[in-house]
Order: sequence, then structure tokens, then C-alpha cells
Amino acid sequence: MTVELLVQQLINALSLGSIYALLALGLAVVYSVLGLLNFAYGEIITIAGYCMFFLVSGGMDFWYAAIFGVIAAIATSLLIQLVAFRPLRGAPANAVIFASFAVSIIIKALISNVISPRPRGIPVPSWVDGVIQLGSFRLPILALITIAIAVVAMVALTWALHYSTPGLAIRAAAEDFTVTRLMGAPAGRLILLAFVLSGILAGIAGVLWIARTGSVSPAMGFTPLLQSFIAIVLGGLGNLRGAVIGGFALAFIEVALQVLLPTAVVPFTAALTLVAVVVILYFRPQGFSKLAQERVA
Amino acid sequence: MNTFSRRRLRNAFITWAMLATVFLVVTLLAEFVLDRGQSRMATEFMILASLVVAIQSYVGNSGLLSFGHVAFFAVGAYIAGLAAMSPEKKEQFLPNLPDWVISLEASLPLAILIAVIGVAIFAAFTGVPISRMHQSVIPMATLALLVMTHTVVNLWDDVTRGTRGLVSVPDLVTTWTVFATAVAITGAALLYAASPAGLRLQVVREDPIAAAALGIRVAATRFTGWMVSAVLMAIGSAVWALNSLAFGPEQFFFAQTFSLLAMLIIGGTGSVTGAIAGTAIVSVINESLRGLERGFAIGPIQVPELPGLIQLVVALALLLLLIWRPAGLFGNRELSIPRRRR
Repeated sequence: MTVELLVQQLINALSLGSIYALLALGLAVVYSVLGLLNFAYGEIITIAGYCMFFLVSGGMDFWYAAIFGVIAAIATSLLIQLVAFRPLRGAPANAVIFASFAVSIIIKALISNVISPRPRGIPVPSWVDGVIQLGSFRLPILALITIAIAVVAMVALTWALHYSTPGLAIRAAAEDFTVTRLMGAPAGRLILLAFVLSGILAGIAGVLWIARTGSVSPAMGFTPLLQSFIAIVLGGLGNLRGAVIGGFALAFIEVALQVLLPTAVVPFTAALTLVAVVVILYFRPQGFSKLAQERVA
Repeated sequence: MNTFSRRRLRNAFITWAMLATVFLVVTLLAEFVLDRGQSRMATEFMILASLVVAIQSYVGNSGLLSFGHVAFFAVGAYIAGLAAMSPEKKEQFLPNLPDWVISLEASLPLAILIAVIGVAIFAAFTGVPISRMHQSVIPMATLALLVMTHTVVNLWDDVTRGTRGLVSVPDLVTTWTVFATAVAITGAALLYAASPAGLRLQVVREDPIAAAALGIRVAATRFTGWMVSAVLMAIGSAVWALNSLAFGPEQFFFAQTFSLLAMLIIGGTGSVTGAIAGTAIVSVINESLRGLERGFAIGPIQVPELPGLIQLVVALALLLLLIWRPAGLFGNRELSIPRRRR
């Protein structure tokens, strides 16, 4: 493999990894507060996508529509918490998990009945698909934008979590929610905040995901859900830094398999990625959480 | 916790006798009273009830939601279907199978046995890492298992015919064999729940740390439950396959998972009775909405086809039920004779 190709695949993996990392963070924020995975998480991205689809078809610029997409994502996230999580506080974990799964089914069924079960294309501005020629290196613009936006979002999140009181409460809740409540952090507001953060992160990741795929469909939320789940498991559960590490690790595994595997096996990449993850978890059931252990400041 | 408790065994047998009576009534109705379409529905109900009970034996005792049982369902159905198909049909539809598979033409018991062995191997490989995971990840890990299995079934043309699915699977199942399957699976699930191994898994469900402190090996206990449930699932899915005669990968994915789990959760994951009652309720919803899904007319207004209407209604009903009664209709209670007051 030439150096040029290697760099290109590296950038590819980094940009995919940034999306996965944002997705995983969004899922992990809620997990860290509630100890439950939100199975309707993928539908946050679906709704953001359809919101953008209507705005862009109505003539709005892609990136303006993206802002509304993120707002729609926050609203959806709050709606999910209102319908599936809030009425079931204190119920057995299975009931809550299945309630969020039911919400995901309802949203999918509504979209395919009211709009269309078939995928719809979103025109992404053509300059985004271009490349920057740097000597003999070809750098895809979309990948660079993705990495830049993700880095900004993650720096902003880190800053907010470290230098604000609610941020501190969220980090504390990730360690131990009960003790955090005993320290006087309002549980209800903390949960709301977690869902808002989750919506923002899913929204940003969703916009980048849609810019990459260029289409929306009722079932589009599934792949992001599964990838973010794998990422947080790889990174060690309930650990925000781990979610980021897991997201990048997953992207590197996926890209490496795509590059190294013979073409006949490429359709199986998704399945093989899962096998690789299971193998890692077999030897390290806690994922990479040792690497990501947060030091108490 | 190492010997059978006589009281638990006695209760299990009482429940088993009562549930077997219910199945017997359904079977007699199907054989002698109902018309062909209705008796087919009755048979399907008993097969689905067997599958839901098989899932319950893991989910109920371990308290861990599994989306992966439909993966067992797929593996069991395909293995049984392939084992029972006649060599001529296999030659025609699946010429690339190995010779020893083509020449095989299994009877019903043999097809079930092969499916059980195949699923048990599959479950053993996947069960080891899954049983070691943290309990809140297991639902997601089983979902990943489902996706992995679906990908393979969908793409492995030489064995599964990919998206076209298996056809010409012989009909080896009668209403009475379905009755026997349902009674056997129900009995096994009740017996497991009453057994020391089942009791240990219930202790792990209530408090894994306390269970470990009592000397229960958490991962091994969960693994046992996973295997018991997989074997029951394999029996149910083999019978399903030899009753359905033609099936494809889409029958073993989300819609099916949601439908089976909805049956389980509506009735209450904690009890076998609940699993069967939930199956009955969701089956009735399904049948009554099937006509509406194809489109209908309210006076002059023609409502077009509504794909996914059943799913939507079941999901909404489920959400409301969960809010009203998070443990499902039956909770942990089983069908039994009322206690005499002392």
C-alpha cells in the first residue's frame, strides 16, 4: 500500500470515528445518568434527517437546515424521555428498555405510513464532495469538515462538563447517581439535561452522517444506534471518555477490515466487525475502560 | 439451592397441567370444531406460544432482555428446513450444498434433533462472551447477535438461498405434534424455573452481587439459562419451519423480534402463563387488524394500504400497558389453584 492510500484511509477512519464518537457520547450521557440504554436513540437521527429533508426540498441551504435538524433532534430526545422514560421511573429495567424500543417502532411505523417507506435523497452541496489536492495527497473535504466539527463539539462538551456546575453533576452522576442526588443535585433536571445533551450530540452526528450518506429512510437510525452501542461497550460502559475511544476504535476496525479483506467477503464486513468486537470483549469484558479511567481532579 | 424444592415442583406441575389443558382445548377445537383457516390459526398460536415460552425461560429467570432469540429461531428453522427437504428439491434449489447435506432427508424427530444440536453449538459460542458481559449491555449485545445472524442468512446464497428464502420444505407437522411440542416446551420451562439451576438464575436476577457472595457463579448460571432457552427455541423453530413450508430472512428480523417480545412483555416476562396469555392477546390483535392493513373504506373515503399498522397498534398498546403495569399482565404469577385459607 502506498503512503498516499494509507493517509487517505487514515483520514477516512478518523472522520468515521468522529461520527461514531459523537454518537456514542450521546448514548453514553443518558446511560451514565440512568443506567439504561435508549433504544429509540437512532430515531433521534431519523427525525433530524427528515426535518432536514423537508427544509432542503423547500429550498433551504443544507447547512441552515442542519441547524434545524439539531433542534429537531433535541426535541425528539426530550419527547422520548417524556414518553418512554419518565412515566416508567422506578420500573424494572426491561420494561423501560422495551418501552424505548416500542417508541422506536412507533416512530418508524409513523414515518413509513405518513411519508413513505422508501428512502429519499437529500441533495448535499456539491463542493462538499470535492477534494483538496495537497502535493500527492487527496484530502476529501467532507472528511475534513466532519473531523473539524466533531473536534469542536467534543472540546465544547469537555469544557462544559468540566467548568459548569450541571456539567460537574453529570460527571458525578456517571460515577454514582445516587450519591450525586444525595449531594443535592436535582435528579429530574439532571435527567432532562442528559437528554438535551444526548439530542445535541445525536443531532450533530446525524447531520454529518446524512452529509455522508445523502439520503433518509425510516430505518436509517438503526446503524448509528448499533455503532454507538458497540462503541460504548468497547470503551467501557458508563464512561464518557471511553465512548470516544470506543468510537474511534470501532471506525478503525471497520475501515481496516474493508481495506484488508478480499472483495468477496466485503458484504460481510458488518458481521465481521461484530465478531472482532466480540473477540475483544471476550478477552477484555470491561472493554478499554482501564485506558479511559477518569482521574478525579 | 442444590436440591429440588418439593413445593416449587408441585406448583410447577399444577401450572403445567392447567396450561396443558388449555392447549388440549385449543387442539380439540382445531381438530373438530373450527374450519380450516381457523384451525391453522390455532396451530400457529400454539407454535408461537412455544417460541415465546422458550424466550421466557431466559428473559424471565435472568431478568435480561434478549433480542437474540430470533437468531436462534433463524438458525433452528433453516437447519430443520434443510434437513427435511427432499434431496431432489435440494438438488434443484441449492445445488452448491455439500453432498452429505443434499442426500439427507430427515424425519420430524431427526430434523428437530439436528436443529437442537446446531442451535446448541451456535448458542454455546455466543453465550460464553454474552454471559460474561455487564447486565445492562446484554440486551444490546443480543441485538448485535440478531443483526450478525441476519446478515449471514441474507447473504449466504449457497445455503440459505439469500433473500429468496427456502421453499418446498415438507409438511411433517400435524396439530397433534404441535400440541405435543407446546406441552413439552411449557413443561420444560416450568421445570427449569422450579429447578435449583433456575432458582440460582432468579437469585442472580434479583441481585448479582449478593448471588456471587452466596457462591453462585453468575456467568455460568446465566450461560445455563441461555442454553436451556436456546434448546427450547430450537425445538419450537424446527416445528415452525416444518409447518410454514417456505420462509425467508425477513421473517427472522425486527418485525418478528418485536412481535415475539411484545407477546412476552404484555403477558409479563416473569411467568410462563403470562407468555402464553400475551401470545393469545397479540395474535388476536394481529388477526383483527390484518384486514385493515390492506386498506379499507370508511363510507366514501378509501383509506390506502397501511404498512406496519399492526406493529404501530401493538407498540402503542404495549407502551400504555407498560406505563400502567410495568411488570405485564401476569407479573410473576402463574396459573394455579387458589390457596386454601388457614
